[in-house]
Amino acid sequence: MTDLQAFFDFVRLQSGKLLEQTLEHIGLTMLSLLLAILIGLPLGLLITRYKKASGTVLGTASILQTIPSVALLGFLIPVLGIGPQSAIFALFLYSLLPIIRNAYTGVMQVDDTIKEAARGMGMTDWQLLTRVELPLALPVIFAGIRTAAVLNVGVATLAAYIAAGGLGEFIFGGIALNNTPMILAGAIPAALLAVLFDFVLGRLQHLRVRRLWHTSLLLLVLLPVLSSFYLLPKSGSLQAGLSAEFAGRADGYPSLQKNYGLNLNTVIMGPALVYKAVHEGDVDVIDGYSTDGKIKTFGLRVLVDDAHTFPPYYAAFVVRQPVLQQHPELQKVLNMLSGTINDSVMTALNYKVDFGKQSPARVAHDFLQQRGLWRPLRQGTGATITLGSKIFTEQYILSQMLAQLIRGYTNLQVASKTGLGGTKICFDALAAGEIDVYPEYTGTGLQVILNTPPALADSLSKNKDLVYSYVKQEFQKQYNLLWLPPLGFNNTYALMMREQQAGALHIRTISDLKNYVISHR
Amino acid sequence: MIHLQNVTKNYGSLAAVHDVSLEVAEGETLVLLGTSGCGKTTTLKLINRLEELSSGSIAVAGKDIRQQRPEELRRQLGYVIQGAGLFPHYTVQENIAVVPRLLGWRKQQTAQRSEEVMEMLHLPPQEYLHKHPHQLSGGQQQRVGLARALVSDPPVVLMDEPFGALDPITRHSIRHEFKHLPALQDKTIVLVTHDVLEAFDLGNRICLMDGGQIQQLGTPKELVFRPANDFVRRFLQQHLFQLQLQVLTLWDILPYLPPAASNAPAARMLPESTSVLEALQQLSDTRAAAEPSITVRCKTSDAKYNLDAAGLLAAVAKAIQTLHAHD
Repeated sequence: MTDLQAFFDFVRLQSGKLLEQTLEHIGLTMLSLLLAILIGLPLGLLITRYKKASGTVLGTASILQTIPSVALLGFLIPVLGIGPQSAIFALFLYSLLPIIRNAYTGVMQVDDTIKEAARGMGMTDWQLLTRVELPLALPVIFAGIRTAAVLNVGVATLAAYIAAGGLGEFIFGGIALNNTPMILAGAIPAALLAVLFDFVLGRLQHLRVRRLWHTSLLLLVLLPVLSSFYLLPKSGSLQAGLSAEFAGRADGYPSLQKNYGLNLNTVIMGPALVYKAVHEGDVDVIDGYSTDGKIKTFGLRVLVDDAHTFPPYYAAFVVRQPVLQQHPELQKVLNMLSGTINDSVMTALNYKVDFGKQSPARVAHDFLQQRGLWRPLRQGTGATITLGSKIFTEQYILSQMLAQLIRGYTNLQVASKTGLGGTKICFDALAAGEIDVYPEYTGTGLQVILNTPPALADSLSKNKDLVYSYVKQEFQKQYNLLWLPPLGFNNTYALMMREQQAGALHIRTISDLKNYVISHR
Repeated sequence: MIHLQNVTKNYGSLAAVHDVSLEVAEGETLVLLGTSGCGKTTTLKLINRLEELSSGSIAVAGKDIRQQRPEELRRQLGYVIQGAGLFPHYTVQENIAVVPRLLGWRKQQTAQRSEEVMEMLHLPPQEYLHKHPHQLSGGQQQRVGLARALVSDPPVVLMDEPFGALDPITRHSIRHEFKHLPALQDKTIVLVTHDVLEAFDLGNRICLMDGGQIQQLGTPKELVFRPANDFVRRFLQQHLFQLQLQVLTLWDILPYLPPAASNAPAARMLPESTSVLEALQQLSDTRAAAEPSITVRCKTSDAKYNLDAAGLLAAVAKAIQTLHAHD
């Protein structure tokens, strides 16, 4: 019940966006359908005349149909880039088979006697096709168009993954944010569209041939009109490509809109694609994480969050109090890294692992050596300290640094339980004493672990020190866990642009970006 | 009117039609008869170029068909096929108007001529013009098919098993009607059938084919009484007696008929060209079997004969004996 209520609330609140996405969805489906009809129908008719080619053509179209839709998009991105062109082309390829096949079958199934009579009376091949075969094949051709349209409505939800819009934006956003009403707001209209197209085209299919003939002419006029929903011009000079999660989270894009008055021209895409998209110029502004190694790889500039809207996600080690009491020598080692790693250093370290193909241990070693912190291992025989980490590069590197320091400065032994999945698993392991220490982020502690009420979290988030002291206090009180001093870098959300473009446009901060957008509207 | 000279049609190494030469005179009905696969349909389709010649030549009205565009040629030749081949998405009117449209007739002319043809074929226009083929019976569809072929009044009509898809009763009545249709009397017709009785009923001449070759080309009488080879003899064997009755006319058996005994006016009068079969049917129809005399109208004079079925058959037997004795 509450879900249903939440769904209606969401729809009411987002009705403008829902309408826009629905129109985009219709446009996307119809445009690709129109292209498929314009190419597929003549091709289908052509192979009724050149039957030798029919096997090849139908076979090729069948193979295209068997490619999983996500994979097809993957193949198209290197060729056509991220954006509508790839989505439209993929949908076009999917629609081809039913249209070609039904045009071919429709004409081939016209009774031979009728064809012979037509030719025997002196019709030319063109007259035979247009006056006899095509009209008689229309119901079958319409069945193909119907299949293609319904198929396309479904597949078009994937378009949101590659920045082509449509109802998939809500679906992907809802999945990323674990927001059921949002998923439904995309899925239900998509399902209704499919049912609607199926119904309307189904009715048409059963019209008498003569009416159908007129209808198909009408359809040829109507399709471009529906397609144009998609091509309505979008205003704005800079194009932003955002991951669904960032676009939907309260502390993501909505907070930028609220705090900066930033109004970008946005498209939604898969989080894995944003860096590539901005690098190749498909979009100009993306969201990402401020210490991601890809920032360096793709030559991006992180825009300064001068209004401090993104919540602070400063990294620090969290350790069990009893461990520190048993092994006081640990305290000094754990504090050695505090304040030594800033954003760009962490980015560079991540880059070495992700793109330099160096091992986290090697990168950690090099860093410690460079800072003069590294000492040869002592081969200690003391108690064993168990280190944990979440399953991504930055955490592996931090965990390795700590391991090498402990081995170099104490007689303690180290066991690693790296790759413990997400926040929840790591934290539970720590709370249960299965691990002794792991790196955590202040924002995550605040939002995910402590589940701080939004109002309080919002007011705290304005100040990184407030967040730190709040989580430190609460962890101690609730879990008997200690937050060590922050390491220095803030792995939070960030807006990024290509370094070159940002330089040319003199955009350094998010405020600069807003001013640029306003002045170039 | 139609002239085939050493016509051959090969499909790969298979000769569907081999070295066929024949002529169809103006106003004549020539039947191509044979079992399926004998080459009769292929021969027909060679004439309107639905099939192309491998070698030989065909001329229609003195013009080599290969000198004309196939579509132009076909528009000059009426074409009737088995099951009519009507366009299901067209009304009767539109079906009949196909050829006039191709020929670029004016609407007025087409409409007028369509109605004429429909009247002639006993399809009241006001009732049938706007019906679709699926609303018609098989016989009615075949009539529309015929109307469609005749609407442009082509001098030549090609027919491929035109009655093949009809049930025996409808088939018989349509055939009968067809035979006496004034519009067809002066047409040059080439008709393909596998039905021996139909061939003998409709053909002025019959071309019996087998294995792509002509086995015998001649009048029905020639085929029955002077079969060219064993194939012809075997082919006609099953229906031989009926065929004999069908091809013999009263004129053929006149010498063997007993003259009438009395001078009272005869019950009926038949032309001497009436087939014996027809005469027998007329006799069995008659209610006045007590008065079996008929008058045969001859070219020169009307002779009166006293006749019953038995007498007629006896005369036939004698006539056949005599005809065979000539061989």
